[in-house]
Amino acid sequence: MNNLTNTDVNNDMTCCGATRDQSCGTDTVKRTQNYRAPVDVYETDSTFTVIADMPGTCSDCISISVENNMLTIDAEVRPRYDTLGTLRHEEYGVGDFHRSFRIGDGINAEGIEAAYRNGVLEVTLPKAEAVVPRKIDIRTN
Amino acid sequence: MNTRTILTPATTAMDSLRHEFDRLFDRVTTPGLASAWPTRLFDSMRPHPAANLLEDDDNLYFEAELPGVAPENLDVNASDHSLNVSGTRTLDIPDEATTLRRERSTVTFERTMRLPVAIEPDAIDARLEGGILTITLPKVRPARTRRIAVREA
Repeated sequence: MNNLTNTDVNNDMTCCGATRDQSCGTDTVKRTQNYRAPVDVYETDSTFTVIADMPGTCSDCISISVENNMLTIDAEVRPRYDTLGTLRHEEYGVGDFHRSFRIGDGINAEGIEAAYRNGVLEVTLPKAEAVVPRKIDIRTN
Repeated sequence: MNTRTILTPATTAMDSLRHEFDRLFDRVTTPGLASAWPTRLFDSMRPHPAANLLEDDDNLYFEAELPGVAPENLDVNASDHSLNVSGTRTLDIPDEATTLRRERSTVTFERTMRLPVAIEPDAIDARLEGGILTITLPKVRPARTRRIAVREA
């Protein structure tokens, strides 16, 4: 499993080996449609976890950044039908995924981790120390 | 969150954090904003998954997006004019976790597609990579397209 930790707020989208003409660049060919990936979000004592369905991308094609309390996930999906003949029947489109979330200052942005497997992205956001509930032992005299 | 005082109880801090998440999610899912990003993926793991079919001279290619489906939970069956894909997708969320947002689902799915030309069921190839199922279906010989050179008389 690939782990990517990304806390660089000015992180450029990584291209998965594609040339700029094919993808990635905002100054070249306009990208195809962006899709909003469905997510689950859950919380434990020490973390928030965002799980997103993003089929057809790869760990090197996913960019995760935190800036101004916004968590932004961009996943590039390379066109994959170029070599597969002609589209005969189409029920869904192929394009990049995007999702963003506002996060409070209770997140430790330095510790964000992500893993991509089976077309599913899992991003783990550790809570800042200050908001992790601590159990205080009460001494009996 | 910005004006949290030192004595704010931890539970309150947690609650406001949770509210931040909720508010954000609500914003993202409001119709006006959502229209910027089509929501087709809410359809991708329904009981009858969407599929694309491509064709070249020798093969048909069936493709479906099945994020989070393990190969062992997927069945592919084919006859000469029909393809059937079925399986289950389960979610892997720890018991002790509190769910804040649920857009994905556990689903048992099945999709049957009638094929436009006869294929060779014994020669099909199925790959599941990055949540994408691609099935290569070789056409039977008579159904293959051949370019015929036209001779000048």
